[in-house]
Amino acid sequence: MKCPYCGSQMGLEDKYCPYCGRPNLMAVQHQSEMDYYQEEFERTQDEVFKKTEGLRRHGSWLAVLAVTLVLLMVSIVLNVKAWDIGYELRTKRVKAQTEENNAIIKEYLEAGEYGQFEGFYDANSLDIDYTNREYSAVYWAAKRYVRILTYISSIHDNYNYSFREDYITETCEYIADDLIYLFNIEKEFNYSADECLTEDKMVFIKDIQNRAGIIAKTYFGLTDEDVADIPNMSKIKLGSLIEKGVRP
Amino acid sequence: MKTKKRKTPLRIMSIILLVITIISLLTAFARIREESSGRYYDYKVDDYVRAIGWSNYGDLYNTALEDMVKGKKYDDQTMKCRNLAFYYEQAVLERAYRETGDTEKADLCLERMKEYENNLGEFSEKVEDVQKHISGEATESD
Repeated sequence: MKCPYCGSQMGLEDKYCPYCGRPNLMAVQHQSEMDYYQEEFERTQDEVFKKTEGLRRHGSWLAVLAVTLVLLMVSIVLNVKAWDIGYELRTKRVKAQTEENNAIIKEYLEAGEYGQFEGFYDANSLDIDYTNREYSAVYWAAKRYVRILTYISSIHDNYNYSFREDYITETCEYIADDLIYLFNIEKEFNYSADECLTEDKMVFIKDIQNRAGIIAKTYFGLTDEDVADIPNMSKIKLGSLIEKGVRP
Repeated sequence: MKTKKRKTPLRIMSIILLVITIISLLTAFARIREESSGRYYDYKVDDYVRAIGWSNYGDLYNTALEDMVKGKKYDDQTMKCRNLAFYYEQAVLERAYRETGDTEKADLCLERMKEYENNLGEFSEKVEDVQKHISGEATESD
């Protein structure tokens, strides 16, 4: 801009003309306007801050609350569905390892390690895969055989405790139940004989039955005729026979 | 002078809900993990030693079988306990085969018994106890 007095060039911010020294009235007016706008801005800003103070103070906590509520609902659903989700994951894992697991259990079976076969099958939930049931009958035969083995040491100790008599009677009933199931396993799995009772599986099942029969004769006092008749015996009758054989 | 920030009800409720949510989520993940593993109890060496201490060889054998988790590594002590469990199994079979006249299978069992016996460590003194329990000679003073 030009000085109205001497005509020389000066800036809007210059309060006095740099040449003639007279006051720059335009600059005074400009500065006054700038001061007014600055005040207006600060006043408006204060008003906005005052009006939004509540929201600013609580806004972040409202966001936290909203996210927490969503997560809480998710956690409730997860808790309700935990069993289903876990079961599904377990099934997928077992199915993915079918070939590897079958190789391991075949090794145990061929070595006659029926206890360890049952333990491995059970501990790794191999029965969960309903699409792969070829060893199911062998597993359930082995399971009953293992239970009979576990009863032998406790039923033959001579410890004197108050409930021993009842324990012996009850255990003999369990053994009877296991033997009857084991010797009738072909009937139990008749519905899936094509898969579970094939020739190679029956070799193992017969061996397990043979072992159980030998154990029954040695430890429970059964005769050859008793063992041969197990598939047709009632639990009560077999239980009584076993109890007679076990008690001195 | 600084003014102390008031804990508004909203803030308190948010914190409480957050804590509950974290606990609920952790519980859910723990349950899912447990169910997906299919194992509700992980056997420790104490479980084996307790069964041996009570001369409950059936229980010891059962523990050894239930603990056959794929990929699980057993420490020395646990291995000795497991060897005693499988010694028990072979001893039961050995007596059964011998008394019913199948000496060939009985001898096979005896071989396995000797293998397990050589790896029992401090539990080798329990061999006699196992034999007593199988033969019906065990008494409370044993």
